[in-house]
Amino acid sequence: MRFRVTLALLDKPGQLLRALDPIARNGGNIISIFHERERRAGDYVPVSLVIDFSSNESFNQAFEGIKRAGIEIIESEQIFEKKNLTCLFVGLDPQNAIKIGINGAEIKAIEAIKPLSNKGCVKIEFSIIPERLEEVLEELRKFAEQSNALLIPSI
Amino acid sequence: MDVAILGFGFLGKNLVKYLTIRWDELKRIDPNFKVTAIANSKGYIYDSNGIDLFQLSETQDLTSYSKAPFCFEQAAILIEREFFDCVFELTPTNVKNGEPGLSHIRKSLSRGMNVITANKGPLVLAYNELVSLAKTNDCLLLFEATVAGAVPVFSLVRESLQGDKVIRIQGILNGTTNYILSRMHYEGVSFDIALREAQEKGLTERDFAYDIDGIDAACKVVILANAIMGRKAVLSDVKISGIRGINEEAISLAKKSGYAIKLIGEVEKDLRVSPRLVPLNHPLCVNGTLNSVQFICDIAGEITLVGHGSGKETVSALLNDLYTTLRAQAIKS
Repeated sequence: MRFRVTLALLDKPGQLLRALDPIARNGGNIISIFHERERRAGDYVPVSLVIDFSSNESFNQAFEGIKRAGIEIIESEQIFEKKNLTCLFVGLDPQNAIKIGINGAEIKAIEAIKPLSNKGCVKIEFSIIPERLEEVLEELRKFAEQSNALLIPSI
Repeated sequence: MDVAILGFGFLGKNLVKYLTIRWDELKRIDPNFKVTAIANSKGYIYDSNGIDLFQLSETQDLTSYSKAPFCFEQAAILIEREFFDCVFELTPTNVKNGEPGLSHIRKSLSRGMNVITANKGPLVLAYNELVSLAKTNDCLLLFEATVAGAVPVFSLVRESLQGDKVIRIQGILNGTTNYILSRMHYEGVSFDIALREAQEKGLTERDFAYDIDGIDAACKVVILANAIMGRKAVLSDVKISGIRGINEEAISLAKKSGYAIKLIGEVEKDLRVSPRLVPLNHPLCVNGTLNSVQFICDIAGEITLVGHGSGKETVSALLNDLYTTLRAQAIKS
């Protein structure tokens, strides 16, 4: 699990090390460190870290450890890597395709093919959070059923 | 080992043919190896000294076999009266009540006879009951041929993935629908024409709905779920969507985007059979009547097997189960 944590560190030697200790103790793997000197506020410099943790629990423990070390955490968030999900909807009216609203799935592209028979087909490419795949698929199945269309999602 | 073959259709006849080809080898493993009974839907031939498979292979007709009379009696009576060390249950699949295969298997296992089957019906309806019956009576129930024909699905997991946990299984489990979808993809023919071609080639079941509506693949999903994932699944647990609705527009859009549409059976949290977009370079993306099965394991990761899901190649699975039974018998004695 990947997290971004932005800390307010005193701009003097050894401050970063205090923050890194609880991260290392909880198995955090640091991907990047960025000093945002342009956002400096008085003696403090925001430092943004991207860290991988094996679980939410280990992240929470590191988070508490940083706070206990007297370091202010400006912001923290989980970074979700998105993946593509391509779906065909056979028999879906392209006008209805744009009405589709699925929580956790962002539409990247829609393509419709001119019907040769009585049923056309619409392709929709979504960008989704992998952890939400099953829920997204379930919502898409419901949408397809309500639209009287056949859903063909990518594996 | 005395063997009975119940069912003398396409598979039964090909089994007899390959038994003659492997005859010397089988006799080396077990000098007493012989097939003492072969039954079809009308009756059976029985010879306690062993049926001459070489002669039978030529005529392929039980009634014209000259060395033993043809008895117009049900196979169920035969397995009740005579003892066999191994029974091949190869009667046609019936997923409504599993008969006559279910009774044949129940009776054989109850009497301590090892069973090898290619018949999905009994396993779909009564997997856990039959496995428990085999265990109670200290005999084997092997069914490699029931899923993906010649592809060694169960043997692989049983013999080669003993330390792994299978997390998910997905695959193309029905060759007929794969043939239809491949024809639509590569030749641009309509669903109706591809279906008619499949029927003319004898690839469909008697009731083609069994293939195209995903029932056959769903039966295999149930067997995989029970046998490999330890579930207690029944056919109604599988969410099924067949390939009837797939038209040329869908095939064309999929193709343009680097995908092929395939009927995929899945065993994970849910059991499902549905059309899916499979990337053209994905290991599961095989064409024609081929089947493919992918296991996602906790240690080994992804393992994909590809092979013939039906036809005479299925005899390979039956023979593998026979060799397993012969070796198990040898250890026992």
